[in-house]
Amino acid sequence: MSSDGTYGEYEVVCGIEAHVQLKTKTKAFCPCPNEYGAAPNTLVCPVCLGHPGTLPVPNAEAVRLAALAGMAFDGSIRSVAHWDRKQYFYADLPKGYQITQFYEPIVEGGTLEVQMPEANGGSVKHVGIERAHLEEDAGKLTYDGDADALVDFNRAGVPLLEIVSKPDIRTPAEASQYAQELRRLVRALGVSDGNLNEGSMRCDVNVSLRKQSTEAFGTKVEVKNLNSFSSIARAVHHEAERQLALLEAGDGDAIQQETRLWDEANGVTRSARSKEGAADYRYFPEPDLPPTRIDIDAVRADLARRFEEDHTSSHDRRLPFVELPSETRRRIQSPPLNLTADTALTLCENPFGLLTFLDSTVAHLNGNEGVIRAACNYVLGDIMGHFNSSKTGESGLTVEIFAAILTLSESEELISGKTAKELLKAALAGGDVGNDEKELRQYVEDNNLAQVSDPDQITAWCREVVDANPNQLEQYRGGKTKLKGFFVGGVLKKGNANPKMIDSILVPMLDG
Amino acid sequence: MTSVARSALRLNAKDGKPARWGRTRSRTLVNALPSPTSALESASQVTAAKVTSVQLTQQALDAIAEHEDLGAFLHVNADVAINHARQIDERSESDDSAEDRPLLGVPIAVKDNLCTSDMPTTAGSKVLENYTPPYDATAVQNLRKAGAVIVGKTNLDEFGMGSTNEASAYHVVRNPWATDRVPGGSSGGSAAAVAANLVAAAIGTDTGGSIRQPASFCGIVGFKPTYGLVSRYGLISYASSLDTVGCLARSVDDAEAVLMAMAGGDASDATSSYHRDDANNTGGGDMESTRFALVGAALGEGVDSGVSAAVRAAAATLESLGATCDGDVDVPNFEDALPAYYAIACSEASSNLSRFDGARYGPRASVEKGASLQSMYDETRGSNLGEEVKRRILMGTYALSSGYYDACYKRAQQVRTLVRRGLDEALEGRTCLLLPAAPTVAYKLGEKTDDPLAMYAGDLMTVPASLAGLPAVVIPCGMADAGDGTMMPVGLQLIGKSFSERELARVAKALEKAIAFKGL
Ligand SMILES: [Zn+2]
Repeated sequence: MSSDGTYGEYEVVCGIEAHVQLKTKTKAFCPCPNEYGAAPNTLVCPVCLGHPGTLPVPNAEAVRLAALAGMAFDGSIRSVAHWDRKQYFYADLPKGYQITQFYEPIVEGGTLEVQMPEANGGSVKHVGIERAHLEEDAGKLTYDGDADALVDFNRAGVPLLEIVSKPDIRTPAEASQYAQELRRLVRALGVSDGNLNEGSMRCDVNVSLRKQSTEAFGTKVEVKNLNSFSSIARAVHHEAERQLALLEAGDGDAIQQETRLWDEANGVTRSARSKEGAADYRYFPEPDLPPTRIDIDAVRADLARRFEEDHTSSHDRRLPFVELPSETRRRIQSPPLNLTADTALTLCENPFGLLTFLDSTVAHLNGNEGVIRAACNYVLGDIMGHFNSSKTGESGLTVEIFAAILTLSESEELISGKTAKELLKAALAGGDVGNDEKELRQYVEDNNLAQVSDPDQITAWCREVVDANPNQLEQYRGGKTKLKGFFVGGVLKKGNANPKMIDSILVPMLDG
Repeated sequence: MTSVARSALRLNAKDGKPARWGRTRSRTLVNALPSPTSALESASQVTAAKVTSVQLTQQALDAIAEHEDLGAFLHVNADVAINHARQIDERSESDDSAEDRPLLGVPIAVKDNLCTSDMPTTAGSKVLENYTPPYDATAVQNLRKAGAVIVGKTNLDEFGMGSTNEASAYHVVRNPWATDRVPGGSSGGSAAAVAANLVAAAIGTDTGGSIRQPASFCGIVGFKPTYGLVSRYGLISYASSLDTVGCLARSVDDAEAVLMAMAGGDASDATSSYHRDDANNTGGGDMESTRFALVGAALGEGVDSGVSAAVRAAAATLESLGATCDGDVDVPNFEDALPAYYAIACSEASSNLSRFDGARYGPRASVEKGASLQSMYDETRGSNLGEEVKRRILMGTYALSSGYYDACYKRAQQVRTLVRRGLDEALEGRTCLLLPAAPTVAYKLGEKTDDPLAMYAGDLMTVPASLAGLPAVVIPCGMADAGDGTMMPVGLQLIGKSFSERELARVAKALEKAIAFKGL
């Protein structure tokens, strides 16, 4: 692959089909709980086991969540949801058919805004959404040592939203980033957990090559079994290399429309055992389900209630009640936060609730650019570090105390940066440094943590240190300016002096 | 548990023919039970404590045992039934009012494609042999709530696919009027049980005529409701968009009461309707405002003369009661209903029956260790599904296959729309349409087994109302010569507008009284 993502004289044409399990309380067509990790076959009922005589009842919540996702990528939402059956025999499919939306998907069209990391150019890419439709998940097959297959039907009937992108993806990195952005989106909306390792989000990629600046598509190959974002990128890359080798050897016909499985351990794709003949799923309208009417206004009202607690800024949004990750990035890359693209990518997922925390702190501070930059640095540094290494994922730091520390250190320079870090560390660990700014000031006073900002006192300390070290002074004046640190250290040994003031007083003194 | 299925007549597994047709037996049912009081009358006697439910239930169980050779039942659970009857007899005064429990203590038989948690439910198929569902069908639940005692499960053509009951995987059912004749199907067991006075009422299901045609063949009342009036939850699907649950009884009053006890919207069935109240509120019309027409296409060529004569006589009777007759009308697309019906019903059946794969319930064919999943499916389905069922699965699979979908399934749906429109047009300004329930009276066992197309043609009169989702009631309107001098009952079918069950019942009751058909 060249640095621009092309393969020889070819470019990658890639689309992604993502299956996202919807975060509903119950399954798509029966009242069983929709939960991960329960003992096998404990979340089942006659309906999701496909017992004779049972009938599906659509879960309105699943329809609402699908509509919400559709609104978020600006697709057009159908006012009536139609259901179809996709038929095939398999041990994990209780009814011998899957209820899906083949003829009329609930969502059509839309785009997903994908921010590429700086290492991949840092540009913003718009990937088109072809369609998104609701369907039910199948059970899960496991094989015991004796080659017997065991089926767990807990997953059977869990609502899925299959989101099909347009073939707009051109590089392995874009494929991975598209999937990550999709996950950010469904998580931000509360539509899905989006866990690849738990299978609540599963991505299949369609890969083909075509000569650069041509329109016609090559033969596409579907790659499944992608369990991480990095395997998505690796699989696209490997598949492109494989196809390129065939094309360059004049053996393009050997590229067949087929399903291949990603072998993570060996980093290759392998042809899945081909079924006899092309599969005919014999789709037809589900006769057990009349069309489900979708009242978009009611969906919006319901969602407004759902996101009531969300108080982030009233930035220009696609959905009034929730800020999409792309919107978050645009906002936090602008004043006052002015974060970089990579930082924005990290923070827009609101890891550990840190973006919410930062937003609240900024609102609380009403501070200047410097204070806000310090707040960002602390959040991305010490505070995120705390959460990354913390096992409990908890912290004792409140917005109020964080703002107070910033006020005392950055605005008032009452305490030094070093002290601020120590206070922060203590607060994160649950230590008592007071509950508000007033108590923090008391704590600083009680523990003698305030720095000295009296110019006369600092001048006196500087003078003492300079006078006591004539040799070093001579070397400094001879050009060894690195020795400044030596003198600063000396002053700090005298007392808790304001480092900025040391600088402004000490340097002219040293320079003579 | 006693199962009459075990000792009764069995099909020869090889060619699907009943093994003992040739046996000489009496041609009519001798010693038919004295007609037990009607379901409604029984209920009022139980409510008034003049008779116990245990007495009624025991009487039904005795009759069932005595007439085991009819083959009407697949499962009878005497212990469960008597226990239930006893609970009803021991109820406290405050438990219920007669109004809430219109069927208090009445023994009722249920077709074996409706799920019962206390009795096996096989749908007449080997693929569900010994299967007992983990739940009760909504219709069954509603019956129990109304006070009914379920005495047993009646025989049927496998999954409801058949018009003679010969396609039951267990044994045939005999027509109580002439035991060498078919009772009709697929609710043949229910029809025979009611006609032979084993029970006052039995539940049937009707997809393309499965209540109406056996009611006609057995000389009883059969009521197929508007699609959606009774929940399908727990009805083992044959064709989802056509399946209805209804009732067979010896009077329109009973049939109506049982039907309305089962009716009502159900959160478990998205296609069920909350129109029960509408269905209740109509029926206030009188004979002077009743207007009807005869379906011309159902009274011409291909219809036995005795059948059309009886139906025309019934029409004259209705007119003499004060109703206005518009004569024979042409119902547009009436005859196109039959092929459309088979395309749609088989398509849906091919899908609905996919779940019977031996994986989760029902018998599983034993295959060699290491054999493919596919071979287990092939063996299980191949050996446990009957010929007629396989034929319809194949037809449906074909109709839904890519390349044929538009020409078969989709076109059939378009025809269905036309059929519905045609019936709506013909019903415009009228209370009901009159036509036979079947072109012939009951024929002999084995007569049409080898000619599925001839058998399908017999559904011509019933499938239009099914495609249109309209209610239809069949009442016996006379007897006709079966061709060999045997006189067999003729059924008159009345098709009404959507949710006009009460109105249909009103007209049917007036006719029933005037005709005064003498049952067994
Ligand atoms: Zn369930």
